[in-house]
Amino acid sequence: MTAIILSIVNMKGGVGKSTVAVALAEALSLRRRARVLVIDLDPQSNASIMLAGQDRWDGLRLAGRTIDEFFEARLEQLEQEPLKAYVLEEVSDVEGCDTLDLIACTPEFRFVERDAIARFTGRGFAIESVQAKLATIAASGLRSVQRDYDYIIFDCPPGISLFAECAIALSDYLVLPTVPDYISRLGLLAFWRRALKLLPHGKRDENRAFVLATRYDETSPGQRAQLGEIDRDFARLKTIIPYNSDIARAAEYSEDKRSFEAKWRSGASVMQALADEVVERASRNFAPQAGADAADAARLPLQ
Amino acid sequence: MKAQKGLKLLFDAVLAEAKENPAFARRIESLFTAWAPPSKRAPKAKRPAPTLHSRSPVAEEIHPTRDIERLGEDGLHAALAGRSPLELLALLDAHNLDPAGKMMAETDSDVIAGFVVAAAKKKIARDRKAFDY
Repeated sequence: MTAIILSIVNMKGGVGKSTVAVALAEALSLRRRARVLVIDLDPQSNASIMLAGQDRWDGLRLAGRTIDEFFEARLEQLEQEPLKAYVLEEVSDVEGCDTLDLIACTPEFRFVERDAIARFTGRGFAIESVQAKLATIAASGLRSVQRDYDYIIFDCPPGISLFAECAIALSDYLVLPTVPDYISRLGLLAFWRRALKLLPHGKRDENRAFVLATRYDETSPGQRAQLGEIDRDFARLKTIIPYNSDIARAAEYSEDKRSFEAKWRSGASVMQALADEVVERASRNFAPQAGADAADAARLPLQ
Repeated sequence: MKAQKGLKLLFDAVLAEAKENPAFARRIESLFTAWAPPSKRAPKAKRPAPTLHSRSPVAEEIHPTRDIERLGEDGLHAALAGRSPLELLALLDAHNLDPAGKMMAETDSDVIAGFVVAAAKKKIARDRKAFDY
């Protein structure tokens, strides 16, 4: 049985993609004992630092055990190791969160995409060919880890990135964190259609791309109105992430382990609810693949 | 009425726990200290409702990571001297210097002050690395 692949993605920055990716991964690992791999594709590296801490992340960067090195080795045709070799096991500062692994990203990842475009377009290839090349590398990489996990979560970069598009093309589900305001919703309209087209064949279904309202201020009439507009146009998760300073400060890695509740404080229950809802939504579409054994079939819903 | 009953049960449980558990009692006390307004502030009716992260006076006055760079380690120690454990715990909380809550049960001001200085040094070192992009 292979992992369920989720991409946390939105063209817009500052909507809480990395925070959602980390909280979701921790809740799945801790509360549902699911095996979870977070793959950070954002050169800002926020999810990597939130999960591994500054020192371990520095170590990975120095040792070349990061997603940029994985892609670079393939693009430069250097010595190649499977994606599995880049996994950092047992990340997170939450006590008991011991089934959560990470493939980290670094700021240098932005050069990998830029160099790949320059190299291949310089040889006369179209940008679509570059995209296809990266997608092939990503897909072959995933094959080495897909059976080791229940969930693989891509934390995607903002903007229109070739790597974000690769992640979507490999995903079973998309979670699109969005602040319910006018500008964010406009961007979402365009991005959502594009994202649906990129999902794999057989999965281009509106019920696989979930909008998640984040940084929500229920006292704002404008945000309440925009939430209604979102509901009209998109499949939205019932869980709403409120604007909450406790959630923002949970991003700071603690060298000493702490409980999920101590980390997310007043945001703990909403993050748990998010994980529950994502699992429930995923289980609606879940159908065991041919050859999957009974244990695999019983995997969802995870209770 | 259900809500009133539920709240009564909750407060009774909190009071019982505070009686049995000195660390918990100190934690609750530190929160109230963080909320408590200085006596010469605006009249009660005009103040916004207190929240968990209302600023405490000491957190307004001392900024550990800024002050350790400005005043040095000894200067920060001096600024922290004479503060009560509750004030220092409020400072740790306001600046998220003890995310795992290691000092929560500590009652010795000198120990907490030492922790503030060490955590501030660590945070500066970490942030410097973070900016090495």
